[in-house]
Amino acid sequence: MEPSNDVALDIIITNVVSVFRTRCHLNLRTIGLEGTNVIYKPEVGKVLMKLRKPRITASIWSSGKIICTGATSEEEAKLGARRLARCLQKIGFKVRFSEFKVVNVLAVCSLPFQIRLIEFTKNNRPIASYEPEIHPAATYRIKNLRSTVQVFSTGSITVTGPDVQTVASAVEQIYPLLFECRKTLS
Amino acid sequence: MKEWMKECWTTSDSSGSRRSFSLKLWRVSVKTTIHPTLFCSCQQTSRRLSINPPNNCGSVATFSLPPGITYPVQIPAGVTLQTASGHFYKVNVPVMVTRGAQHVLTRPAPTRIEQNSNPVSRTMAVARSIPAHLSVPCPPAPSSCVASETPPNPPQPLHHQLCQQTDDKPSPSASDSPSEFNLDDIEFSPQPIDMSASSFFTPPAQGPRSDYPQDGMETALKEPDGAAEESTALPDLKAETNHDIKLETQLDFITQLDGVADSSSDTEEDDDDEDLGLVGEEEFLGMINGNEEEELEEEEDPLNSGDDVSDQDIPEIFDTENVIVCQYDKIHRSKNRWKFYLKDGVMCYGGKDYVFSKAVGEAEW
Repeated sequence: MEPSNDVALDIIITNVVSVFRTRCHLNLRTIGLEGTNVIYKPEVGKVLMKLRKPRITASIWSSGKIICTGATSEEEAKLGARRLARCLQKIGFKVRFSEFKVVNVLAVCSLPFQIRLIEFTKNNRPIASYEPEIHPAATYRIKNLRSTVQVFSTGSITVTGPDVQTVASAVEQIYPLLFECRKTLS
Repeated sequence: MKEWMKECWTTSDSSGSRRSFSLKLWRVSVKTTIHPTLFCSCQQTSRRLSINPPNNCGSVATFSLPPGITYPVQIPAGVTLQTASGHFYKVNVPVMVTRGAQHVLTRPAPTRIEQNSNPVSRTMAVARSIPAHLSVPCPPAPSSCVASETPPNPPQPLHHQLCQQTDDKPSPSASDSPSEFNLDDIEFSPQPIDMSASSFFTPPAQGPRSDYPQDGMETALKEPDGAAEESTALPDLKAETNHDIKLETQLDFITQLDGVADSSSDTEEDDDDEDLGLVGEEEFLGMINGNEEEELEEEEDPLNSGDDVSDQDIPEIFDTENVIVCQYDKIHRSKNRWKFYLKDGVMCYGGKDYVFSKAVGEAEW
């Protein structure tokens, strides 16, 4: 996504989290014994299944709810989820791929300048919060986009939001604010 | 059963102390629902908790009257009858068993009785009509449960003399008397005709109805002719009359739109049946974006496509017969790096066997 300035920013999506339902009860023990690349965690009550091709990790619950993490794009998340459902189907469960939804997208972006966090926080008082003793980054929550931006003094930012489009909009929105508070060599 | 349960509990305890499994649990629950004298056999297992016959279809136990009996038959109070399944039922109130066509009741019945279009419904209808049939007029039997059966009852008017009957009835509702079965606890199979059948009980007989049905229902008599459907519906009737009568006495016939008549699920099913490839999927996505529900259903089926990946890996790995059988101290994983701390095992590697007391391994997935 092109920011308002001339500089082209690389927004790299590092994680896409999605959920879907299989609409059927799953026997975790069966999946743990017969499935491939699975980690059975009976103490928690879930099975982790990892896929190589879209490198994803899925948490499978006996209720049939599955949370799929580790994808790098929304399409990949969906593809991985389908492959996972297919694996469960092969084990023998009557799996129905339903209610697929991307719930979280995590992206990182590296700005070409460093940022003065204290100034940034002061300028954006209620929306931005900065507690250096707790976390070295300032947190900027964009309510209408339901996304959160974490700003580091190095100029790197992480953005989390419900989908990729929102994340891009968040970066666009925050860029001018950060540009104001950049550290310039002087 | 008792012995088996005891075995299960005692063998698992290695310390030697015996845990006595409280079979009392079983008994207690039985007692609450069934009079002890009635079901002596039920105290052994919990499976007999419900009064349902072993087939557990929710139907009433049927009593077979001796052949050659002439109807109507009057069974005095206090008689204990045994069902074909072996259960005992004690009749507290005098019961009158009649053949189908006779209608002792004098009250005109609502035409709803026609609900019995199918045998099941007939059963229900007849069953429901039984309380209605509890005819007062039989002077000798104040509250009688008439097991009228003929399914094609519908057109015949039901005579409801429930009000009067209940006055005559000496015994209170079944729930009160301990010697009565509390059929409310019985699970009844869902009856499609519930709503319509309950409509039988129109305004006149409301409160009183609740009493005798429970008494009468217990003696559903099976017609040797085979018009036995009515008997199967008695317990259902009993349970339902208690609730339905009170609630729906004022209601007119209500068409049932759900259950069998539900057509909403059909549309979803149709979508699932379509087998689409990945390309087809996308086409649908464009069309269906507006329809969220269908979206989900249609995309399910091309699960075939996204499969191939794992197939290539699995056969490679398991071609070898290298196996380690051991105990583990710790299995650790960070991202895709695994570390194994194993102990006390044997390893078959390259056709040779190795024994170890400790083994450490690392692997990348």
